[in-house]
Amino acid sequence: MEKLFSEIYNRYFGIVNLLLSKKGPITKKLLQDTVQKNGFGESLLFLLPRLSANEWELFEEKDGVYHSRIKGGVKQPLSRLQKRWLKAVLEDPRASLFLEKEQIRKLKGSLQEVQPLFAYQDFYYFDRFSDGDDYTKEGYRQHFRTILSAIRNGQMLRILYQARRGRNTKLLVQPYYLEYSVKNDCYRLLCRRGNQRHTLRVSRMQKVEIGENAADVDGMMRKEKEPEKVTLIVKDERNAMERVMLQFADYRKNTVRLEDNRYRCEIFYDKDDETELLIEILSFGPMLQVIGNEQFIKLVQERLKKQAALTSMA
Amino acid sequence: MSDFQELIKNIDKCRDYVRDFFVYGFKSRSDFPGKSARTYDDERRRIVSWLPDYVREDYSEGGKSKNISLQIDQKKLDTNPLFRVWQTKSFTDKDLMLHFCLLKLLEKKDAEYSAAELTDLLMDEYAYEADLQSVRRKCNEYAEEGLLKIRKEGKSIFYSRDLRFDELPYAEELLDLICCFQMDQPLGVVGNTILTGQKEKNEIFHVKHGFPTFTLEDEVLLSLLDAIHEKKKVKLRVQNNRNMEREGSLKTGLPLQIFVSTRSGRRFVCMHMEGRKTAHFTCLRLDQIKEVNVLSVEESEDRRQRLYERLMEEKKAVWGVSFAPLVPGQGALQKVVLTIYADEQIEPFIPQRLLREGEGGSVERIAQDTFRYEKTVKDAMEMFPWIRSFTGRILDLTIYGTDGEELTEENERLKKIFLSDLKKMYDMYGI
Repeated sequence: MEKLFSEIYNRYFGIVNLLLSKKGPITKKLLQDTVQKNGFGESLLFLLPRLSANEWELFEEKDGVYHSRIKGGVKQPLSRLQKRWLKAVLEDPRASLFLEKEQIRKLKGSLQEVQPLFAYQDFYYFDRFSDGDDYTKEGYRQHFRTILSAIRNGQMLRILYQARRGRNTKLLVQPYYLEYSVKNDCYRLLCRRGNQRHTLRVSRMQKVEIGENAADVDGMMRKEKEPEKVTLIVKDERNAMERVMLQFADYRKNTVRLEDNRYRCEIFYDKDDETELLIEILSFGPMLQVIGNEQFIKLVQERLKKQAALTSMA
Repeated sequence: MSDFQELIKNIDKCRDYVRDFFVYGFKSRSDFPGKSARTYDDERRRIVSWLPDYVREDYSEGGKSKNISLQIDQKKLDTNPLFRVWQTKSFTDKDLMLHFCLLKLLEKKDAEYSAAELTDLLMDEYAYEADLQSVRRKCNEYAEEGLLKIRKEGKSIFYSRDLRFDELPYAEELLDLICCFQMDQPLGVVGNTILTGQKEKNEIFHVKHGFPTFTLEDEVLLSLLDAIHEKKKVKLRVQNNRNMEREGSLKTGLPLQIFVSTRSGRRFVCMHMEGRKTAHFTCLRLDQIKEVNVLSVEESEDRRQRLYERLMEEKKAVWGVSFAPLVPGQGALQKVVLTIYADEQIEPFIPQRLLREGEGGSVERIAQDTFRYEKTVKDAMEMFPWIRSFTGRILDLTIYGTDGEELTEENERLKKIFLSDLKKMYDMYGI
């Protein structure tokens, strides 16, 4: 069986290879910078001394600088595990967003000696939403590729977008990320229109065209908004603590243990995700109590008031 | 002098620490019973070293103990930082030398050498004196990993390198696909190793509703997938909250499918287990599986297929992962009927939510602004978190037996739990 935890994927090997592939002389400063930039926090302490002392004799020393003895470094062949993973993911319907059918067929041909690492029927996403995107639609694929090209080249996009109530709107946006939602099985475009951030679902785009070149690719466009914060008290009953911590593991959070089996947890979220977070919190029932911010508490109270007014449940 | 090392031989121990620091973020030294203070300190130091940009160190309430947490916002990332855990395997000097020198000697596509020839070349080209046995062992190891190919000629064995990424057709288009899939596909860490090897970085894709901790279970997943494909039973050592102090319990069964929750942050293996009197499907959490032992006996294709088909049939009535009926002896299935209020003019997305999130349950408009959702399940209680997410709209919740009769006692009990939870929430928020 193939190993995932293997030295062939080791970060130190990667750093050594980077150094070996350097064309010019390798100064001590370059050694240090390369380790610092590519290593772990303490690699300067553990890897650098061994490289500086040329312990592995991978370099030739001349006039106080090193030269690689393995010119150009090495280009590691693909491991069986990597080939098997590639073959498996080429079966995903989303692969057709990146590659034509014929290209996928040829790629699979190049990987014919290995079995796919997994098949799609090996996995069952039991709580995934059923209205995921249709990746086989030609229009969808074209839109996806146009977006990809615009992001890569820093171009604006002109989009004819179907808003929630079926109305079409023309938008000129600066695209900056494509986001895949595992739960919704769909792609969304994260973009900016003027000073406003927008999230547009790719499946609702009626027309996508490249606009004029973008004015600002890396500055304002990618700048993140300050996250909102909701503070919760978790009472560790019915294994609630673990369930809460796991469910909110995709959010940045801070947790502090209080007394009486209670915990205070701060969750940081985007304003756009507020409704989703609210219903996730409600799904835990009385095991979670929102104690801040005030506006979030009001949202919970509103839902509960409405529920209390629906008397037939009582 | 400390013998602390940044790299490790075995990933099992640190896997649990990373998970605890990431998922909980409030545990300190005293929360790791059975581990020495030294072990805790070393593991903590290592994790700080591997993930310095994500670590936050602070003191518990009252300042009694120091703890660390990993601050990761999955939605803002270009990759999963926890993949770094897989880049920490320790190695010997010989491993490193042989890795670079052998792969360089075999770099040309038509280069093919025996172990003895490679041993000589190591000396000629790099003045590296290696013994034949070590060279042969490393070559065989790399052939096992798929980096090298083997050709036998009589008693002689020749090694050459295997396919490189840049030799694949459409490598550039493929890189975009890998940038995206490394974060949301099973075993995405493997895709990440390809990107790293190509010195490529994802700058375009983000993932929402992904769980970074999944990667910590990837070795377990790998073994289970092998067993699924080889139709072999597995013996698992499972350690959960109840048996944390002990070695865990052993479970034997035939793995058939991996169940993934996109909301709860858990993955499970669904196995067919046979006891002395009963046989049933059960789901075990991957993060609680500490050891996978693939047994050698292979199930027949027929029997495996029959079990798989039965699973496909049975899981239609499973909301999450619970195959056991809630009330033994009272019939295996329960019909959950949920009546919801939604203003049709301004909230058309509410009945849509019932449809897309309701796992195949039916949705019917029964009156103006009133919708009825029905689903037959094995364990109605599993649906409660989802039902609670409609708080503010729930007109009624009733649970029937599948023969159409209301499961009076059980319905009352479940309804009581549901209402009592609501009451507690009203009290909490002063409603």
